[in-house]
Amino acid sequence: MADVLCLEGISKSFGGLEVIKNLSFAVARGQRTALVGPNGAGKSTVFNLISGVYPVTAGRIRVNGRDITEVPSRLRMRCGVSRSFQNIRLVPHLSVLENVMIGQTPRISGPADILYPLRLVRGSRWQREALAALDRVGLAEFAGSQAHDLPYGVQKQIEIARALLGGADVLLLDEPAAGLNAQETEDLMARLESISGQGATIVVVEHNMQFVGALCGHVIVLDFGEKIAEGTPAEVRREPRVVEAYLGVNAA
Amino acid sequence: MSGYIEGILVILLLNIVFAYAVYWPLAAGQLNLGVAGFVGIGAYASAYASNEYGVPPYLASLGAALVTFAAAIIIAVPVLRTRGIYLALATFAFGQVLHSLFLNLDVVGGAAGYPVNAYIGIGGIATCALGVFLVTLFLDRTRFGLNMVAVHHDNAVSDLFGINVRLYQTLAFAIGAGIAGLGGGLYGHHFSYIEPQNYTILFSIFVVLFVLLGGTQTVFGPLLGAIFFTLLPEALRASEEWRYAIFAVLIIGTMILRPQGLFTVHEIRIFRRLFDRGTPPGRAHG
Ligand SMILES: Nc1ncnc2c1ncn2[C@@H]1O[C@H](COP(=O)(O)OP(=O)(O)OP(=O)(O)O)[C@@H](O)[C@H]1O
Ligand SMILES: [Mg+2]
Repeated sequence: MADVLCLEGISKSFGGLEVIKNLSFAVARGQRTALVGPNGAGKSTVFNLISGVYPVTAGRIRVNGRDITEVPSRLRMRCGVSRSFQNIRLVPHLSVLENVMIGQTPRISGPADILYPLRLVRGSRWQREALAALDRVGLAEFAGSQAHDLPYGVQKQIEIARALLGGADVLLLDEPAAGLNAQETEDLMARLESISGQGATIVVVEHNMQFVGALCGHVIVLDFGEKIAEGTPAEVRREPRVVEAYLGVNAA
Repeated sequence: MSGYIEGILVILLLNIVFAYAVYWPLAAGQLNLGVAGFVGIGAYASAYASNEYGVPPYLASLGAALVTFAAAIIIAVPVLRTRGIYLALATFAFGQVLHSLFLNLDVVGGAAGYPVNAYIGIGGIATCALGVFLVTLFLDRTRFGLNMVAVHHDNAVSDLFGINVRLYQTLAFAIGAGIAGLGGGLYGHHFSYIEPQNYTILFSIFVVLFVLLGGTQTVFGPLLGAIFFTLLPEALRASEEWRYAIFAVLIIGTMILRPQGLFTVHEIRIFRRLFDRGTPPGRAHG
């Protein structure tokens, strides 16, 4: 089974309004995939459905071949999917290190781990591991800072480090480059390449098409909750429906 | 030690215990206005055990902590279905129900009160208060404490990261109740007499007030709040007629100037910077 993430006929309605319509796609292990589309197309909703924030109206979701559609949201990270959020969801008054250590929770087992004084012991296995994750996104120097003291773009990177620590196979990153300047975006790209080179499968939601073109070999285009194109960046750019969706030409 | 000072110290130590009874649920985002009810259960249960069955008073008080802990787990089932202000109202109602229960329980004297024969002195109370503080301090530094902060701040994200939100909320509520029960047992066995009037909403509000003013971002806030609120009225005794007015002004002033409480994460960071070798004060802590 080469596909690590697989959506089969997913639909989602919010009180009669169908925001995801019969969506199917598969992501191969180690692949870097982008989910793109205009504002309100349903990209974040797809991430919310995969991570279990709310249930699907129809369809199945598989991770590593296992059907996780009915798995409670709390246990989905253990099934192999981790994520970051479009709007920052860190604890502002905790340190960066403490924030990312929350990401280790899916891997703890038993009372000894829960009662381990990881906020007291310096240089514990948990701390070293969290520092290493921060280092992978280039933020080790901020470990002791309070999260809310840092710029928006840096906080978004902290979420990536936190997501990495869950030990998941698939990382769902919702607009990871938001708030970064050109140089920082390039750094981020290099880091995501190296993270995926180490075996992780990455799915990003991103508006910056240059970023998508350079990072991802596989692009899925959503419009009004429907998949209107899928392929390499060059392929989807040639699709007439994509051009229409992006230029706002009325298809009807 | 003079009787006066010892008297104040006992109140201070008991207030520290009660502070942590309120702090634990607050640490998970729950405003428990029924803490007096749990204190009452602890006081009556331990007094009954030591009076009627000769259980040693310390054992009776620790047993009371277990009883209130277990009772809270059951009470949490309906109470934690509510959120925010409704949760505060539910705990308030629970406290009122218990108050009228104490008034009507004739085996423990009803409205007339209930004398407690066995005695716990200041040493025992100090040991228990220290124990409560150290256990809270330790738990706060563990992953349990870290996850509790996460649950308080964002239920949905905590859940996605594998934290059992309902379990943490229930434990915070029950640990607080257990500490309240212990405090109740100590109180009854020290003052040798308990009556329903001790366990009213006013008591709950008083403790919640000083914990909030002390601050709930760190485990030191409740300690500071208890010290401040026990000693300040004493210090103001000199101006007898004005002391409550001054006290009220100080409370309101604290709320305006320090909405997060007197002692916050910020103070901790200042201390860390001062004590960190090789990190000069003022430089960002890395
Ligand atoms: N919880 C919800 N309840 C009702 N409607 C929702 C909910 N979440 C999303 N929607 C709707 O679903 C549609 C898709 O929203 P979504 O946030 O997934 O878009 P998006 O592609 O991520 O957009 P953006 O690029 O602006 O982030 C929108 O019309 C939105 O209003
Ligand atoms: Mg979105």
